[in-house]
Amino acid sequence: MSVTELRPAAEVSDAPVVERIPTAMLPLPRPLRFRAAAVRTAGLLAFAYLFLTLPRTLSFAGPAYAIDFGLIVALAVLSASVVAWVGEISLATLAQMGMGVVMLNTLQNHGVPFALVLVIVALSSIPVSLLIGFFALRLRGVNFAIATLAFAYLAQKSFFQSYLGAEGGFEKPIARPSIVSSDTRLYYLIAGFTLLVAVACYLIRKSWIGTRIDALRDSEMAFAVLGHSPGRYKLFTICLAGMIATVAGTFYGILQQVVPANYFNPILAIAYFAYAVVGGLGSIGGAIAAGLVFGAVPKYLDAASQGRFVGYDQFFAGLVALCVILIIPGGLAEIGQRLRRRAEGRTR
Amino acid sequence: MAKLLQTLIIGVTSGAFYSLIALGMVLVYRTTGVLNLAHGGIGVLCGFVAWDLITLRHFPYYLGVTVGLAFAVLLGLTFERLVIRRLAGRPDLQTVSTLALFIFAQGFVFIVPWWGNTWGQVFPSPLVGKKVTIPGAQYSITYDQILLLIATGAVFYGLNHLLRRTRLGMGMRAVSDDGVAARLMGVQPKLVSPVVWSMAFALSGLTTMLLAPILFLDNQSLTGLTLKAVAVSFIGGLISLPLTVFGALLLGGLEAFTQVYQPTAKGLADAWPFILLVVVMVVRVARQRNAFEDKAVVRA
Amino acid sequence: MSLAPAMYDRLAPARERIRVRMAPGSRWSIERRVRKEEVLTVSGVSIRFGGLQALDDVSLLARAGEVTGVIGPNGAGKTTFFNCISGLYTPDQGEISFHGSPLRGSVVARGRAGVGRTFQTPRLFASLSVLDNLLLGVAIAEATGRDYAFESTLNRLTPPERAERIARLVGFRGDVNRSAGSLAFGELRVVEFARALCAAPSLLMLDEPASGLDTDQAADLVALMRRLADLGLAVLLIEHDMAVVMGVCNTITVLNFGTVLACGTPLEVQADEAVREAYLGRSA
Repeated sequence: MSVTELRPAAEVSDAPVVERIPTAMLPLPRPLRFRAAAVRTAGLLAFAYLFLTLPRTLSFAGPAYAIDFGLIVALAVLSASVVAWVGEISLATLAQMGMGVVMLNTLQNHGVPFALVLVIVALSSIPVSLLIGFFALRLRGVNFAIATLAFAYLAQKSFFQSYLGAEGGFEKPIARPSIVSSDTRLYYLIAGFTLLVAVACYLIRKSWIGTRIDALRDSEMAFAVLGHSPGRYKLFTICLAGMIATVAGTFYGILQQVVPANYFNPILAIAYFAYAVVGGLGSIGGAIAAGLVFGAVPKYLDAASQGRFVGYDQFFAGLVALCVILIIPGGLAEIGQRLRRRAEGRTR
Repeated sequence: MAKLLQTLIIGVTSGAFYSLIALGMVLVYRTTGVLNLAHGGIGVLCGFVAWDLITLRHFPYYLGVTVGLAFAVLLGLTFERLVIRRLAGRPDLQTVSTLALFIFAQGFVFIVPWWGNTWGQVFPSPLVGKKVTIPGAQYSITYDQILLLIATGAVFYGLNHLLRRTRLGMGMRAVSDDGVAARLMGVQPKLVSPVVWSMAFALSGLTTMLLAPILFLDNQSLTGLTLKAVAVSFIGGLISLPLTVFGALLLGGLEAFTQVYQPTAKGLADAWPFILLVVVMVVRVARQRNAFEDKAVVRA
Repeated sequence: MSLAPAMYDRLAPARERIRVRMAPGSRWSIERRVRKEEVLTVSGVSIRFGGLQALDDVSLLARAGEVTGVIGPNGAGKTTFFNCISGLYTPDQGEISFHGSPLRGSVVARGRAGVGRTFQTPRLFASLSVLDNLLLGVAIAEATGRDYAFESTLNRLTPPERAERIARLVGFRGDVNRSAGSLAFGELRVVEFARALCAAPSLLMLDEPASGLDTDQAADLVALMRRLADLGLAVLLIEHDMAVVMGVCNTITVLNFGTVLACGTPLEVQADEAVREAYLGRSA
């Protein structure tokens, strides 16, 4: 028998290790840096202009109702996309939107001022999200998706139908608060909220919470064995997504004022998940873009064709979804990223 | 007694509906790893093509049905070539693309103006009107329903035989397990994959054409069936053909019993698919030993 | 490593003397001079999967300052054993105690209690940088307030500095800001090792750390493990490379088909007939 001879530990070299860094990550040369900065500033200005005046800019195409609806769908799609941050699929998005409508009605019946309504609705979403999140602790993947589908379905059959009645509408329809009496004013409220949520999600994603969520998604086992709690971050993400969906539901209630119970169809939640994939799963901008495309554009086409287009929206949605998935599996987010890179002059 | 027999008959025939659709979905999942959510929608589309030819253009019944099935096969081949092959290796994206196809197919049916998109259509059948009365049950089954039962049995045995005993079936399973190894063994995914998809779509078309004389040919009812078929497939774990049929019969039976014996508990009959799903899930989770599956379902 | 049988027999008396001297409890053995703390005590652990008895009445003792090896043919249940200690599986029978008290919490709780682990195939967080991977480990040490027994200067550094030092300590030569997904295989193992160390564990379980490493890297690994053990860590090692195992372990437990075949010092295990029959081969 023998004993392995131990070599003396190798000296740590002081020379820097030069590695091949991909071209896209090298800092740009000076002239292109100006171009990139210019493109970004121009983009930011264009965005600000559109943000502030969108209903008027698009008034040639249709009423502000369309853009409001589009933003609500964008929020719902964002909610589905956020759940994908931890690598899960939640089909309870629409059920949570419905909760938002119901909370709105309840609060209005009790005469709660509108300023408080949104805050209370957002907070009230947390218990429901925790319930859904509880399932996320034990179930993963398809099993969790089914659990959320079952939850959504049971919510529709039991809760919504008794509250909303099968035909729709509460005892009295939802009152439109005077501050958002017109669809254009409602646009500013929804758009402002969407911007706030988008910025918040972006900041969270870039923070230490985002790092841990990414780690959780990469390898839940290693994450847990190291000593970090996957449950905690999953619950957080699901609560965030739930809050977004619930407030979106409140906006929907304000927009429509009369909401039929069969709108909150679990099947539609699957469609919203598909839109999230088309937008680029996990991406904030992509989700909002997908929501606008699949929510607002059909409504604009409805208006432009004076109602003859109703029914074409499904055909259109399916076609667009197929094309995007085929051409760029990364979705609208990847398309946007590539365009931006081209505009900034990066060669890749 | 008559009531019990009636309930059983209703339950078995509904179970046959569900299992027919579910078997098609299980076939696709077992051989490609993709959950084919377009199954119901494709069927409706082909059903409408056949209906168009038979009712509007007065083609003979069997020719119309054959053209409808041929259309399904063609659609399957096209979808496989254009979509599935491009997304090779990403079953999650492939599943979403079937969902997109489903939405597209439903939309397409809706926009063709002469297909009467706001109401369901009556699908013709040479067996219409012929019934068999079951003695002792005060109930009669139409020939269409009998044909459906026979077809379900035939499909079940056919698929079982295909997957287990034919070379094509083994090739399908090999490709789904490990495409590279299958290629090394001489199985050509490029030949196997189109066969799988066209077979699945043709099965979907056939299912609709058997079902449509019994229900109406329209989007809504068949969509509802798709959801129940998904639930039933999950009971079978998306893999086992016998368990799928068992699940379908169980669901049909439970619904029938609820509807006949407890008609006042409304909502319960509709809730059975979800109750069954939850039960199956609880059982599966309770039996799993490892607390963690390490790969996230979606890549965000 | 293997000697000709004739030579082996001629050394028998010498082997006998060494065996007596190195046996636990003898007046020459190190165990007697320094009472080492029992970090992990596993007694009678059994687990069954369906029809397969994966582990059957397995017992083991791991002490601080020692490297304990777990060897055996493939399928013997070694990784299952680690999974039971980590908390990924719950054994049907048996007790596991850690630092004297029963180890019963969830996977997360055990990780926080100081049970560190690497995996057979390295599981890094591929979308994060190497530094972020290590910092996630350091965050645990910070959260639980544990000290780095193996290098006390670390306690005074900031987390990024700590992470970098531990990375250099285990031999990672590259840029810590690189994405972990772009590392070569050998580097993956090293980073995973470093990440487990960053959490300041008191028990480090290594699952085949030398597989895929060349001879030089394996020798460096042996030196590192020896050094960590000498500084107070309890190291539990699954390994197939006999040079590494025999060279670094204080105690070896041999598993076969889920049962313990032998347990003892490397010399005893090498001499054990049953072990040679099942695993090492006659000429070892």
